[in-house]
Amino acid sequence: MTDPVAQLIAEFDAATERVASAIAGLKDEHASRPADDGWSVKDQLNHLTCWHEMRFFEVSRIARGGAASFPLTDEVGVESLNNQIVNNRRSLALTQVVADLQFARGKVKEALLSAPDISLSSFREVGPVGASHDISHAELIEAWRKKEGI
Amino acid sequence: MRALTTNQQLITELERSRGQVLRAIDGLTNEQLSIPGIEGWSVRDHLLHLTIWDEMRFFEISRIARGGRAGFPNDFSETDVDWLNDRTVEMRRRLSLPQILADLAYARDMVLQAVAICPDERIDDSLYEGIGLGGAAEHDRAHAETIRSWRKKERM
Repeated sequence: MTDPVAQLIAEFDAATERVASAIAGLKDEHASRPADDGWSVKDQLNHLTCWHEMRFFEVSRIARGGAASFPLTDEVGVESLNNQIVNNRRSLALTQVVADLQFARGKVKEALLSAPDISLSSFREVGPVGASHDISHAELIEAWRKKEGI
Repeated sequence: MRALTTNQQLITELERSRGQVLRAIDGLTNEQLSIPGIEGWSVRDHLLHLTIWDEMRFFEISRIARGGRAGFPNDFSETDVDWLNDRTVEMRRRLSLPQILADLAYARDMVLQAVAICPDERIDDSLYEGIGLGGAAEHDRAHAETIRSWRKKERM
């Protein structure tokens, strides 16, 4: 039987690759261009970073036997939080945006690897790896690039 | 005596200011800690709030240590900060006291670790914006003072 944490990390790595592939070759200028929904590729990446930053502390908290600090909450509240945080980071350069994402992901992976017996059922809004979240944003980026021919 | 490095000075300051917070809550029962008597916030809420800012601070210090720019700007309005504070504290209000204290200690420990490995030239408050570097100690002291004043007023 596959170790659940090892399985999660495999999903996490696959999602990381998918996002990297979705943004491959993009210049800062392209990555800063807002799509129809108002968010640019950089915004999407900053958004992922922010959730991985929260995830690192959430994984650490649950690994120590604590409860999730981010309960399942209303969509409007989450959306406001997302917009506020993305607005904060909009002016950052693409190189930093990517570096911040890598750093946050590295911390999540480190926290998971040091907690092989973590209670996966304790997670709520912030999941242990966020692989499907990463992939859904990679898909948005891929679709936007296809539409824009970039 | 060997002079302290900037990192060590900051770590010492952060440890002292956190000591003030812990002394400010010393002896309070969970019931007393839960009274929403400080402009709608309880002492537990103040501790949650300090944890949340240290969690953000850890990543902000790490970002700047790696040569990046602040991810939390100065032009974040007071209304937005208040909204963020209220929202994040509200989400954690149901946590148990032992967890609140453990999370508080863990987040501060992460900040201290980030400061310890931050290059000297990046231990510079001018590189920080909405989440200040030295501001962590000031933030602790301000909340410790708020809690002490409330205890004095309530004779606890």
